[in-house]
Amino acid sequence: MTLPYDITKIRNFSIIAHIDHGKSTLADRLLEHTQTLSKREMTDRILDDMELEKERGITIKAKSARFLYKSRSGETYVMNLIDTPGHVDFNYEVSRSLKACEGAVLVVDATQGVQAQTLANAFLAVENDLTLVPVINKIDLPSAEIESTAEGIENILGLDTEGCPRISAKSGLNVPDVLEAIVKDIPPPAGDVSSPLKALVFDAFYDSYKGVIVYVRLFDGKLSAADKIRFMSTGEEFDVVEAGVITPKGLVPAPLIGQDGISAGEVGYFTASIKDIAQTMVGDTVTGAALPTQNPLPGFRKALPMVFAGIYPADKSKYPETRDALERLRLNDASLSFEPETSVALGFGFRCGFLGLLHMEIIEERLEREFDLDLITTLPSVVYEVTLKNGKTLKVDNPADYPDPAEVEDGSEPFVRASIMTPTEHMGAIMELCKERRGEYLGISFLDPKRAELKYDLPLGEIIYDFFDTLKSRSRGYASLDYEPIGYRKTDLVKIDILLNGEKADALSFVTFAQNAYARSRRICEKLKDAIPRQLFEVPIQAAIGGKIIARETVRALRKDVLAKCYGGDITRKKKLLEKQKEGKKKMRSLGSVELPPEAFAAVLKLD
Amino acid sequence: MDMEKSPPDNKDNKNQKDGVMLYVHIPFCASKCPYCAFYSAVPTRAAVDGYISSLVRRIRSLPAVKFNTVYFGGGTPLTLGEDNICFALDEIFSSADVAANAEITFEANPQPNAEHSFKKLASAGFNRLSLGLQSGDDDVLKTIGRRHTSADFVNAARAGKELFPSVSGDIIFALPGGGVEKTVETVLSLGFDHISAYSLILEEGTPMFKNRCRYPLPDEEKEESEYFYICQKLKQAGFYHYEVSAFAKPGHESRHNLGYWRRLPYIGIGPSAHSFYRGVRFSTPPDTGLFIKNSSLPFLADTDFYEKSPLTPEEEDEERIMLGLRTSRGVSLSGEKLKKAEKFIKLGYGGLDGDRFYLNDKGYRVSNAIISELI
Repeated sequence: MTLPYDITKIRNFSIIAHIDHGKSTLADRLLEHTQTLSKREMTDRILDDMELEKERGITIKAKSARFLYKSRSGETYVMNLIDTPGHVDFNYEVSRSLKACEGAVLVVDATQGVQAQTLANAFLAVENDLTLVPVINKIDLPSAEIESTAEGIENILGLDTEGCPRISAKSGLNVPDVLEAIVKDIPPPAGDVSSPLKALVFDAFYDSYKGVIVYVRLFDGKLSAADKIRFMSTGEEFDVVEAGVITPKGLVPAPLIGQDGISAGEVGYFTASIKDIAQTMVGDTVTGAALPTQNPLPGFRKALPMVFAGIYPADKSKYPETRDALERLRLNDASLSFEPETSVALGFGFRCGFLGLLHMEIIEERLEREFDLDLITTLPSVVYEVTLKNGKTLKVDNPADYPDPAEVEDGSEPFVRASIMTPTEHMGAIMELCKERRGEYLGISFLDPKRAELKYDLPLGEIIYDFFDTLKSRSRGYASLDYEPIGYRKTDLVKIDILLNGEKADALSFVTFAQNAYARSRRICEKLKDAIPRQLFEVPIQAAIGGKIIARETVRALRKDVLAKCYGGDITRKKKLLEKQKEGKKKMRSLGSVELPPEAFAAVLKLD
Repeated sequence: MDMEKSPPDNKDNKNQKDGVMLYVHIPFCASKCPYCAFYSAVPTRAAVDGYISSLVRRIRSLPAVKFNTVYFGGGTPLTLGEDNICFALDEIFSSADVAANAEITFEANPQPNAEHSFKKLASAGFNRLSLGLQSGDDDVLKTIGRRHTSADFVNAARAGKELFPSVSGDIIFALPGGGVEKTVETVLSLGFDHISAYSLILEEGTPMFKNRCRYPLPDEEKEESEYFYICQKLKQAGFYHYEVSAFAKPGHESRHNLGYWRRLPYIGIGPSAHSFYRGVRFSTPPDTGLFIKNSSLPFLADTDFYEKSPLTPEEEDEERIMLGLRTSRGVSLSGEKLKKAEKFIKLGYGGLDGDRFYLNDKGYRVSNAIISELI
């Protein structure tokens, strides 16, 4: 693998695609073709990775790899494939990964044509000044429509498809064309190895032996073991222990490939005995402590949790396991935050902060799947800012803590600037949706006769409910959403408390825009009525603002059990029935005098 | 706990000093009712012959304990023919020790010309008759697939009253089409001393469950009001609600029925029959062919007795509560459980007699919810 450093022979690229269009298959095929891995090793690699992932908990993390490619002209190139996660919650992470590349391979499935994510990803790549290499995949399928797919790429994305690779990643057909196109079309990185170090952090994960492993793309300068480096956003400095490249077979220290470090234009990793992943922020610039660069790379922003929710073990005794699991996930996910909290209704749990709803769902799923926990997650909430009549200001990330209306001078909530790209025929429906969600219309621009971009300012609190799903369903899956926080705005907010049998159920409190209070209260009371099993007494469900009841439903008392007959002394069925009932009882959560099965909580707390 | 590996000694009855109850199951019906989930089959000549000789073999292998009650149930016992039934009872008298004052019940449907059969059964030694009226409304009877009419019932009941010292009427409420008033009126006019009232429950797997939308079934309110109507009318007529689904004039409670809830030992003979004997609950597989095939095996060898362990003290306590709360005598409680019971009393579901917590008419209806909090 020894190769003299030559920046003109480096190609840094990502593969972007709509889901299931063949991104991972193509990545595997590229590595296999360049014989970085033999076919046998391919399987090994995948298995190794899975074990590694299990052990370290990095399933959702992006994977990147360096490999060598000998082109048809006989030159050998260093190829750096940089993987990207894919959802609006991680848009910032995606954009940082793209920032590390000069180009992107855009994979389009010939049986489906250009799709929403193709579009969103292509725009993101163009925004980051990337050269796009279109590739038409799955051409061997009977339903492939190669020509119309090519036309779509030309018309919608404005990319030239003449001579673009038409491949089957699955069978390997024409895959070498992709490598050739990358070498030919994507420019080599610019950069000056003699300038001060300037490197972009695009990923990081935690290793229990080496500490945090930081993935970087060097724009200028050089990075070697024993260098003292500085993270520019925090000013914290570290001594580099190891620097090298990321190969499909693992991390390889630079000396092993005959280099003394990694240089401008290259992609690699370093370790520096960093204990906490929160000290390495994606998008941050790494520079030399001795001779720092004057200008950090633009576009850095701290990934702040935007959405908060309480996570409680369904089985109260699993609190320590839940804490351990969150700590494990936190090792590799600096954007996850959590603090212990208690709820009268749910007992001991954690208030967790997430980048967005998908991030929350991923964490929930990983906790349940990888750590075998059964959880109750409360309604997600944003962070509200409240000014009290006594002049104090508060930040409230748990609706239960929202102060009494009598004490509140005013409240404000976070807003985001949203950009929604959609085919023009769904524009009306989407504008309607934004209006329903209290969006402030900013403008529209037409990207071509068929596509428009809508700009809105929206309360984040409206987006974290079902906005994304509704957007998808109202645009038949074609619209895409991106947003960035733009700060707080004053809003007429109220906190709604839910009372069960006259007692406040803190886990069910929520904050809402005052004008929506009645409608939302009624809806949640109705949902509770359906979800709460009948008890031995009547249970009134009330929604209240302060002391004022604004909605009410009643769960009528249980009238009749299933009476298992015990004919001929057969009491086995009755016993089984009671055992089942008793088991169910153990899992019940008491809200004062009312008992709820965890499923009922889940049903109520589920977004509608 | 160690499981007993050899059949219990037939002479050992130290645990059964109060006597044992005997249940004889007849797994045949002339036709299957669309709401019935119990094990039964339409009999053939050969099946009847095979069954009766198997029963006799089983009866002969019964342990030497004293039987205080005998109950012939089904299915429809009379599908075997009254002569065969009398033959089986004779066999019990001659090979088992039946107490002189034993309650010996026969369960029958009100078939036409029942009088003829009843005469033979009474003289064979049956002293209690349980008659399945189900409904006093002929249209409803037809809807639920019963083969008799209310006139058949009245005739059978009159004959039964003359021939047996004690007669019970079985009724079902919450039936499609209603008719509860007529049913209650009919049973009260016949001078029974015991009435069992069951709410129709659609069990999964029955034809009626499958076609439930085709039946005009009562809603929850209607079902509840029918229940309380029965409770009230029977109370006015001098019955008391001594068990979840049974009413009796004082002194006419079914001893066999109460024995189940008081955790007295019983031995069941026949496919799907259950037993509680020597502290173990066990059953015979619900397969008539297998029962016939296994009938020459020694006592208990055709049951799953050897797979079961005696109940643990915790299980016994749970049973005591679960079964005790089925009767108006209730169950004695202490500590936390008694405190919980007081909560139920406050909510109007029962009362306290010393340390015995019992359910009332309202409480019986939600007994599962209450029991599951107490066990």
